[in-house]
Amino acid sequence: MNLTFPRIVGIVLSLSLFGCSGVWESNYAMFEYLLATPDDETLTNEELAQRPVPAMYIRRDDRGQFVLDFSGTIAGVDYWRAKGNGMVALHESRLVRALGFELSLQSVQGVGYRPLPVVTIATPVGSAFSWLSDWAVPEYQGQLSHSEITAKNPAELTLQGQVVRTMQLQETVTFADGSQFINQYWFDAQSGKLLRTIQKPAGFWHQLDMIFISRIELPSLAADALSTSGVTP
Amino acid sequence: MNSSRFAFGRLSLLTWVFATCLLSVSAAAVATDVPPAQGLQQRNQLLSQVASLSQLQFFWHYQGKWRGNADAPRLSEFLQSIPNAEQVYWPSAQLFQLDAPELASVETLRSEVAEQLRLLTLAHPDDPLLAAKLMQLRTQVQSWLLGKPLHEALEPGLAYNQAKYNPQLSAGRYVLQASARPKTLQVLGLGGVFELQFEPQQPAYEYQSSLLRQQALLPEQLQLLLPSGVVKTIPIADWNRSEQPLDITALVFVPIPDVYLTAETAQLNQQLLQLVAYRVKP
Repeated sequence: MNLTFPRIVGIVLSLSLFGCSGVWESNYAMFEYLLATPDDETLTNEELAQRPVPAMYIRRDDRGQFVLDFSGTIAGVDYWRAKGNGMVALHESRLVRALGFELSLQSVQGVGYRPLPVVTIATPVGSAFSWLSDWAVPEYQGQLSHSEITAKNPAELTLQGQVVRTMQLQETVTFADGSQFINQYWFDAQSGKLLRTIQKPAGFWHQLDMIFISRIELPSLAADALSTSGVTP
Repeated sequence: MNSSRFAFGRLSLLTWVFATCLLSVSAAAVATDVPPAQGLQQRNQLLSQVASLSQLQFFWHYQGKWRGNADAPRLSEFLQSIPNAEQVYWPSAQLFQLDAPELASVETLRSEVAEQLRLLTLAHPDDPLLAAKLMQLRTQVQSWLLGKPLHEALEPGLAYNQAKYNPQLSAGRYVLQASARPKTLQVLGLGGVFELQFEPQQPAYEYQSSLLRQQALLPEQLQLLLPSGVVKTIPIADWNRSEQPLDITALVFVPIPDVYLTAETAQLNQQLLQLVAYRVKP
């Protein structure tokens, strides 16, 4: 793991805040630092293989990427946890929680009694979805978003030094404020697993780039270690 | 994740099957209308359904059924045992304990509120509409199922990942109030609890015309009771209104306007707000 000097200083400073501010705020001090850092955190394949739980790279907007650990599937949702107690959670491929941000995403649900629409490798072009997002303050509750799958093409993705054949889907999202964004999904062409996604859950919020590095088939040494971890994201 | 850690791990299959069969039939009546002044009896009836199963420490009622655990779990373990949890809108979910000792004093509060509503009704003999709404509210108050709310955030991921959001639950009988994302607001005012269509981001004062259909006269401010127990006040009068929207997770309390209150019922609004915090939605 690359721990550069600025990153170490930041972590130490963040830790020092634990004793002098409110618990909730201080819990997230390090997470805020990680979100803002310009440096990329990377794992070698060996480091990845030795981790006890699956890992994800996450990047907010154009800042540096850092590592989240898979913490469990709870109530049908996969939770990924960062140092500093920040969390993101996905229901299948859809980002549904982002906790510890300056404005946290609390819930994403289908409209009415319809289930939350998710994108899979089998989703055809032209599929249309709607969903509601709720944020930590009432001013942003009930944000209605509409989307449509507008492209689906084979693509190669280079992750952890491996070239992976994927199916890339583009989802054009129109948010409640009228702005648009193109969510992107890369699914492993063979397994159908989501390997990478870039999503923006609201027009006023950030885009998150999430790479599920533990789902990549690594050289045999790493793959053996992963298969014995007993945890599947 | 080791699923054997959770919910029913230490509950014998035989006991579980017996308890489920025994209780699911009678529990189906829980959400039906309750005659006036029956809230306490309803709670006692619910509790009596599991009274004989004393070998289990922790019971919870959800979707018309009682379920049991041999021991009281941590909150994260409990939340992970909820069926169809992915369909639950967690920001508004609440857990109530039906056999908490402090409910005795809450029953006293209920009696005081009912008596104040009776006195207030008598104080307005020349306003039959107001009197009818006050009596309607009194009838509802007496029929409320009351429980002690757990004010922790019921967010499964938060409970699982952070110790401070993952308290050890105590042994007892609980009701989990959890459903899909609501489309309507729950409002408490004259006449009791009613529903109002929720309009996201709409300032609270813009609900005035809808509220007036129910209330005839509005106070200068609304109060929002959040699942965490926090109370927020939003001014809505022409001279003091704010742009704050209502909150879909909150119960909106429309206080009885001061002009209706008498010296002996001056504390009624405050007591109603205290009491409704213990109300378990049918």
